[in-house]
Amino acid sequence: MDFAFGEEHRRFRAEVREFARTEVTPDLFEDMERRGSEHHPGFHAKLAARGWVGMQWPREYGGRGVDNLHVSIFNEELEYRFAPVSRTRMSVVFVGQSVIAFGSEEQKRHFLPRIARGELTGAWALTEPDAGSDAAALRLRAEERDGEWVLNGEKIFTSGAQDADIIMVAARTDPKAASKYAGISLFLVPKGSPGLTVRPIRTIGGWSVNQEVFDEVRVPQWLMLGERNKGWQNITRYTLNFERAGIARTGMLLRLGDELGRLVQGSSSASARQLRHQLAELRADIVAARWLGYRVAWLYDQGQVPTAESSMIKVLTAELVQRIADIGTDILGWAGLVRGRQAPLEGRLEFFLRSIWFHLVGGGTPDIQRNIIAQWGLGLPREP
Amino acid sequence: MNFQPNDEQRMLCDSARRFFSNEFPLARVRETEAKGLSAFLPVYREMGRLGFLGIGVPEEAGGSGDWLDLALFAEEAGHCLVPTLPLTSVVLSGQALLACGQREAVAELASGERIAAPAWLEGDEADRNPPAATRAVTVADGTSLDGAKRFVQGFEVADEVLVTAIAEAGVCVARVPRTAPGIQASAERLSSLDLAHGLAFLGVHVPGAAVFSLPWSAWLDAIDSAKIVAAAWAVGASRGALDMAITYAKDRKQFGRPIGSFQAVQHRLADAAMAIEQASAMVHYAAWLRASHKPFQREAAMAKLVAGRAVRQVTHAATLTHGGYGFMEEFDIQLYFRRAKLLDLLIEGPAVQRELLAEEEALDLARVC
Repeated sequence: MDFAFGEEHRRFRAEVREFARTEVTPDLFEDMERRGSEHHPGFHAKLAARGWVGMQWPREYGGRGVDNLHVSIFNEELEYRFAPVSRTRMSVVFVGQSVIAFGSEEQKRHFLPRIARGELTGAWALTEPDAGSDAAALRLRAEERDGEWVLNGEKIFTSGAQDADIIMVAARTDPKAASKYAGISLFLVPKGSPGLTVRPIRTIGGWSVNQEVFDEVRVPQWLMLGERNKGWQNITRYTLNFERAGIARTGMLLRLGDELGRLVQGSSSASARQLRHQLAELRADIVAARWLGYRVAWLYDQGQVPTAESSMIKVLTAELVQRIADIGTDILGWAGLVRGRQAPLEGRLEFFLRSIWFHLVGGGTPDIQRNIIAQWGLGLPREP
Repeated sequence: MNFQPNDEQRMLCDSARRFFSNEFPLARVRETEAKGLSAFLPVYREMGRLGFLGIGVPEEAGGSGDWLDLALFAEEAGHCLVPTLPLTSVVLSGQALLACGQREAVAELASGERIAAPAWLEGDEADRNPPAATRAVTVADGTSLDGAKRFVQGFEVADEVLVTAIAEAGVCVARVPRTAPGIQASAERLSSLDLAHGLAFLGVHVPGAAVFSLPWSAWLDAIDSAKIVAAAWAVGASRGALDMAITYAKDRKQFGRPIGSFQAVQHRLADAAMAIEQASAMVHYAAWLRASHKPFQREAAMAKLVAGRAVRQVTHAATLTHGGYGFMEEFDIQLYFRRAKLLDLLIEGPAVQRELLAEEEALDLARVC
């Protein structure tokens, strides 16, 4: 065991930190607010120009072949400044990593360099109106007709679909299969496909998510991702784990843990006095989660896909954001409820109070994560 | 960065696990509860002979291995509910005596042949204040100790007591034979059935050569180092309790199915597992900082806080999983539960850690070493 960062990692951290310091500017956030989007194409393009989008991929696919710890450092430093990186992560980790893990050579050569250059961003559509936690109950149908796949059905709560270029879609290709887990396949569907309509759904947490209706959407054969009817295995073996490990926001936690410390130190309110010990607990938990996060990243670097640990880091960090928003707005009193950039911490605590649901529910509810930890991690039996 | 224990660490953990499962199964925990710490001494001496007690002790004082090795070993010991005598007699006392320049004394403690009981608590729980209720006064042929200490651990088997006191020139540490005239000991039995002693010092005479003046910060360094090990002990005990609960939850059937298939049980144990992984990550990092001679005080406090909470939460969850059997004496899970709070308080309790962290001025959680 050795928890020292190597010279390469230190240099990289310094580079990203300097970039974040100069490039994450207030007008970035104003711009996103104006467009009502969590994504900032101009900023994403700058990340791509630096070679940071997909940097963990092999060079032949447009990456830089660096380890996953680089990705942790990258996320940490950018999130420390609240930079918009969720689409970057979605494109690289959810979609791109899935292509790496089980895509064809043709798909790798086509999609990965484009994602890395910032030309393509991706979204991931699994949930349906009647298939949430029971995601394998999905009904969106893909039928093979005239050498093409034809998709009909609905997806819901998809982040980023409004302006992503490709949507990774889970569809039922064999409705007669013996179990709901069999007969599912994945497709990379170009956003502009005829018959695909995307409707935004407003959340209480600032950004919108989307509902997609697939009406006779034609998808060429080569865009089926992974083996036919083996989609569920790939989703649970790879994609959902990438997603859960990928959305752990430890950089933001570190920043907010410090910001709350400053709020308490600068305040003489009764709330601040009472909450300083809770805050101490919170700060300890944040650092503990950071090191668990590094361990999960390291496990991926060892070629493992740690299911239980990915769920753990997802739940822990989401629940930490929740505690931060709770304690933070408690410290602030009424000021904690004020919306907008004139509010303390530019309204971020109030924003997290509302948007915590993205962290808790996205990638699977905490209840589902606990099932996974218990069954995959502890080996407890499934419900009959 | 590497989260994998190296070959030596793996061998250390394997041999510790084998040793404890052979020499100190839970039946011996019960025996120690019934007969007192002296029943543990043969195992303790053997730990000394095998070098387990010397982990984290500098080579020139007869030890080997660093603080991370020690933390990994402590997890194995905690897993088997090994009494925390090594922690008080070697880790805390040893670090304090090293700061006093007493290498040979440390070597004796690390051999297991000699046992020290640190006596530093004056209130109901640890605080960071220098001793006030125990005074050391210089007399013609040495020092005279007057005052009182509370909750001294390992006193019943100790050869000597390591007493912190306030002298005219500042804080000092006195090595006092357990049987020195003027020590009055009163035993209190704890929830774990361990004995803790209250000690009164009534003009206890200590030769000058056995009294060492020590900056209070040096004592606190020893405390901060030791609490990482206490935190590791707690992580190990948490793992032991969770393992037991998982086995039980797979085995025990109600409503015609294993209770471990019920979500209510699964989620409680999933939370326990998360608490352990979080605590373990924090403890390893703190231990590594200490081993690498980097600033570790903040992370030590975090480790103690998180691990102390984990052991209480996990042992509670594990006991609850056992239902009625959980609190029956003949079942083993209660052995873990009855030690959780002790492990949380050991060396320093959570209140001190919360205060230390709340008082921290540098707000730089993102700091990396």
